[in-house]
Amino acid sequence: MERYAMGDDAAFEEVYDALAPRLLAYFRRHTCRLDRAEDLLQQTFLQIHRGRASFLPGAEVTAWAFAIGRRLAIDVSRKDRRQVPVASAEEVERAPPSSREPLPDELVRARQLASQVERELARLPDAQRLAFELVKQDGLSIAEAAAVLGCTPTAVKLRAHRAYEALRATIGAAYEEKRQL
Amino acid sequence: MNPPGDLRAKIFDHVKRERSPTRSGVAARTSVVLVAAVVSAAVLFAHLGGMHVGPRPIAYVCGTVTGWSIVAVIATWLAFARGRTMLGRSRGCLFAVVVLTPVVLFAWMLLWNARYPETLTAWPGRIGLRCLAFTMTMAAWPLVALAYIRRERDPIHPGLAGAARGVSAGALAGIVVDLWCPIANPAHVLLGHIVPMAILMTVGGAAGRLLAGIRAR
Repeated sequence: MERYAMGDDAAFEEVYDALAPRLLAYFRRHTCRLDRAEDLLQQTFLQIHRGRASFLPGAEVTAWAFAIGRRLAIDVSRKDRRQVPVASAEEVERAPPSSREPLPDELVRARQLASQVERELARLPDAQRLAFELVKQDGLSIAEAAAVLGCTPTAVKLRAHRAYEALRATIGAAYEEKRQL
Repeated sequence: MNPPGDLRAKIFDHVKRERSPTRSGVAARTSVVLVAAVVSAAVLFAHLGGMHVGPRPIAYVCGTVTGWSIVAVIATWLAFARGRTMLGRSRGCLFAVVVLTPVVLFAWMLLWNARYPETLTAWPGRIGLRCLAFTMTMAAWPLVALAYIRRERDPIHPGLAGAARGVSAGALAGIVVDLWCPIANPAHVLLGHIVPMAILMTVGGAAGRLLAGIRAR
């Protein structure tokens, strides 16, 4: 990013390759629409491009990019309140295949579990859900997530842990119920 | 998940077409805006009569102006500079600027009032409305300059950062107003010199949300 901020346009490719997959996954989860996620990705990179001259040497680029992306996602969701909590079947079909093709019942169970996790996450308070997603799903460090959310690292740890405990309690109980049946 | 190739091509194309300012360009533009704000404020100050010591002891004027200057510079630095991160100051830091700046400045004035009791004399008919208007006018320049420089640059707490900038602009204007206004009565200082900071906090907060925040297009 430092080279890009200094005016080296070729360095944009490296910035893009490092950030784009994580940002797109983040936007996919938040918008549940691929077209909207791609639009947000594009807008995030344009914001980074416009603000590159103001990039501070040695500053953390991941947290900055996620903070821009989060703000854009909030802005878009305010404009368009229509949000689907779970990815559509068509989008699930478009997901990249894994190296081993899963068995049909494994696939069904994985989808059910994913849907359940999404539903439970949607029920959590925003602060807990965001902390959990940034740390557990987007792979940000506690410090980066704290910077993105504008709170202390301790608060992020606490929120992510509470979200994790809530998910474990709900999904774990449902899993036990099914197992006993 | 990797973004599709056509999206990558589209983003690269946009980035290639849209020229972004260079660091030297941004530094030059920032300098021009800040110099313009300072010169405009100085011209306005001179036009409105410049410095009035009035019945205040000179040591009182020096002391209050020095205190205002130190607090205003610290508040501006905290509200405007981003520290070592691209995300700006923490919520606690900005909140401290918003709350503590007016409190510290008023306490500083009271301290000097206590040292020079003759400055407590009330001036009938001068409750502080002229000073309020003058502070607002003088603060408009740094506030507009700071808002322009930081437009679309605050991904986190744009409203609170704007409020902190409003307060710091009020504190900067307060230096000049303290030189201009010969009245040191606490009630007058509260209405004419401190209350404008609260108004500017509101204005700055709204401006921050509208201008400094990042918005989807």
